[in-house]
Amino acid sequence: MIEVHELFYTYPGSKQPLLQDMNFQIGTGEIFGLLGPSGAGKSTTQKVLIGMLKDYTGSVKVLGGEIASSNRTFYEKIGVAFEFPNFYMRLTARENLQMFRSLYSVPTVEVNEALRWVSLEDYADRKVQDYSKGMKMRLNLARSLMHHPPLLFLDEPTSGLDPTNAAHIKQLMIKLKEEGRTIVLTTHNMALAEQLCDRVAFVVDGKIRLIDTPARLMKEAGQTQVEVKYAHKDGRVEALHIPIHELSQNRQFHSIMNSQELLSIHSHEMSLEQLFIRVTGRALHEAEQ
Amino acid sequence: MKQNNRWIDMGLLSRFASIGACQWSLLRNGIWNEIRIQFRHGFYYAYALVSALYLIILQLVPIEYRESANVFITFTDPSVLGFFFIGGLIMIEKGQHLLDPLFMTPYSPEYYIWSKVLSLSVLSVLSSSIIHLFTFGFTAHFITFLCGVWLTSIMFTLLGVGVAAKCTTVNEFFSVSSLYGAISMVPLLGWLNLWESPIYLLWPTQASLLIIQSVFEPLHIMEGAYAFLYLTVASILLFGWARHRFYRYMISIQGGGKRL
Ligand SMILES: Nc1ncnc2c1ncn2[C@@H]1O[C@H](COP(=O)(O)OP(=O)(O)O)[C@@H](O)[C@H]1O
Ligand SMILES: [Mg+2]
Repeated sequence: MIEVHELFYTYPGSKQPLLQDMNFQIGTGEIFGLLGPSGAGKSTTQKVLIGMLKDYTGSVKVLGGEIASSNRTFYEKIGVAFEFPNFYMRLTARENLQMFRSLYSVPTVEVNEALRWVSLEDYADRKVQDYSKGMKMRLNLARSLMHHPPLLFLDEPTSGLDPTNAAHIKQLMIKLKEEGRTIVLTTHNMALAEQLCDRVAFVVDGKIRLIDTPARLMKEAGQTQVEVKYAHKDGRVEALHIPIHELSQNRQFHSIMNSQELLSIHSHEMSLEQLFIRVTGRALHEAEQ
Repeated sequence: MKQNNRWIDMGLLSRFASIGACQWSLLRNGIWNEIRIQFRHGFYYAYALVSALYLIILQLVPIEYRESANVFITFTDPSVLGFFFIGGLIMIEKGQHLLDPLFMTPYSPEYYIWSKVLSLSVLSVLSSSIIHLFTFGFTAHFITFLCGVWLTSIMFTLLGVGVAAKCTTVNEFFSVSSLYGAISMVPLLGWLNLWESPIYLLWPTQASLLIIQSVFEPLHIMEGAYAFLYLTVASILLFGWARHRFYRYMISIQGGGKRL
């Protein structure tokens, strides 16, 4: 479905490439998660994959063709839900979906049916300007699904949502997965990624640090970890996470024992989130919207 | 974007080559969608009111000036309404960040531009028809007159697309567009007998004036040929220009900084 080879992307006007040497494949029916903190380049990666940013270097094949030379029929086959749900504010939800639906030449679902998918049928004739963020996010998802695209790109579909709305969207995604759709899911919600994704890629500073299945990651994460808290000479407190069986060989641990003030040692099981921190050196939620 | 410096060949030749590939249903749906949006934003009510106002004014004008007044009104208002409305429409869509989701469908910037241009030309033609028909009735050259209004409207809306593409606020659009508007209205000086010169023939809007005027004073065949040909060529060139500006200022910033 998607083959990315040595992808570099530089935004116009910036000197440094934002995306650096990305390589990954996504197979049919797979749910692939792009995980990483805000600003890592997840949305940018997605924008390259959907043909919005064409001045990349390297090779990006989506649905069999190089995306930079794709034509408009490509958009009959993909569904995109951007991070920000934008609609004609003065039109109703029904009118908005009707409009977007009319732009496809492939068969599309009835607007009422699309609204039912996201439980908005009772609010169909309300103007989008009166919708809550959660309702708009659901409508956004409905819009991306109306033409039954086999390939979906969902950018932070649960960001900023209350648990009820988030659960709703998760439920819908499980249904889509069962239908065999291929989904590229961008998120910094680890729990969502764990439950939905066949594979996840850790993205930090425009680079992919690791790609694996959540199961294997969890297995690795399941190892007991030791958290070592220590203070620097200037009083800064830091924590180190080390798998328990590596403790005796860990040189940093030894140097902390010798030269810095050890504050505490705890052992616990590592979560996927902590694994992310260990692999990337970065927190996932450092700048959550 | 690759299109930047090659807008003539990209804009014209590739369009010409792909006219056969135009999906008429997509264009038709795009036009209907636009009309719905324009209706919702009150354009149609506004122009029903404006047209009614002009009808009253025309009744008040002494009969010997009524024909000239009709030409003047048609040329300066219904024919150019798209030029100003398009600015508002594009600013709304920029402001509400609607271009990203719109262009994630088979809808392309070319369809987007033509849907807007042709839908606004409907409003021009309707308004001009009402004003003319209710004052003078169905006259012999009415259809020619409407063609003139239609082509002029298309030309001005395309100009508006090109101007609006680069603007970020409605105020900015209005200040920039008033300059373009003033330049395009220069042939009125000749029409009003303020300053006569053949140089006006260089303005496509002179062609507009000739055709609109022809509803009362039929055109010489050569004049008519010049006028229609010139308006058509001007519109084609303006489409290339508008399309170029659209890709350059509206598409290439897509995916960048467009946050709520
Ligand atoms: N149009 C643009 N021009 C320059 N830099 C941009 C543009 N859009 C985004 N960026 C920068 O690229 C980086 C990655 O952004 P993004 O891909 O949206 O990250 P993420 O989705 O992982 O939060 C950010 O530092 C952002 O400021
Ligand atoms: Mg993002």
